[in-house]
Amino acid sequence: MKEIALHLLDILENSAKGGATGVTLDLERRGSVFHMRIVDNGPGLPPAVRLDPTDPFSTTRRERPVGLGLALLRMAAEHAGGGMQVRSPEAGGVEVEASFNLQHIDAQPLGGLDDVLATALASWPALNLIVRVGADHQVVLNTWELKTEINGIDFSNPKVHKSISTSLREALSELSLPE
Amino acid sequence: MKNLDELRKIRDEVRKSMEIRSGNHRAKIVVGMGTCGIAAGARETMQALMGELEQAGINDVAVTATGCAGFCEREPLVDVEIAGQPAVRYGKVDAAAARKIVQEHIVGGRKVDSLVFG
Repeated sequence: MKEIALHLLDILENSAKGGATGVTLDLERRGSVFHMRIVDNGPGLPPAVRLDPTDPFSTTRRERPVGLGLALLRMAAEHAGGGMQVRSPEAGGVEVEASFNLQHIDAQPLGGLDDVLATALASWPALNLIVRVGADHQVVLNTWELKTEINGIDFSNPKVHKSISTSLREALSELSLPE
Repeated sequence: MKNLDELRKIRDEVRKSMEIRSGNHRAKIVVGMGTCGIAAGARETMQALMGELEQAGINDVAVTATGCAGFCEREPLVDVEIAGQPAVRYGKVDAAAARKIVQEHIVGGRKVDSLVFG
């Protein structure tokens, strides 16, 4: 992955494929440390994966028995002086937390979180997202509400995609390091 | 969201443009968005598809995603499904190729033979 934001997209795919209908995403930058926490409401990790979720050979894939998503995220976070944790309680749901020092010499660029979130909405329209930013968890996107407000909204529509991406750009700008 | 009114307006426009096909999209474009697709640039591919459609004023084509199809080395994969026609699969679709597919296949109605997966 070339950007930290792409790891987020990849984790959101896991939630969508795993049968979650909602994800709460907390994004925060404290100084040079970027932190993300992704909590879904799906059934949790299957027992075979739960033992060691970042082992590439623990996977639910059927195309071939190797899954790299979480392993790549762990590697990227550790290379950037941060770390990654996965929790999957018996009761269900998966929680992934990762932190990155954006100023670390081996850190990937943060990348376009606005584009990634708009892409996730188009890609998995059934997966609802609540996105919160900063220490005070300010909600910048809530698609449960959006779908109620605008009945029939189509996230796979190019104009909707652009509008969402544009409105998120400003809301997420505090997450990037100042120039 | 600050742009609720804008989004509502878009929803109404889209509804109007799809009424003639009883609510169905004219075409669907599906991007491979598994780990392999994302690592190969599927996000940029989707941005390019969305951007080109938006610029061309096309409102009745949906862009969405699927997971890994088992051809990781040929990602980003893109399937174009035009209503009433067999689906066409393209491989190694970067942003430039994505724009070409929109112009020639979606707008022009001819598949881009040089990019077809096969």
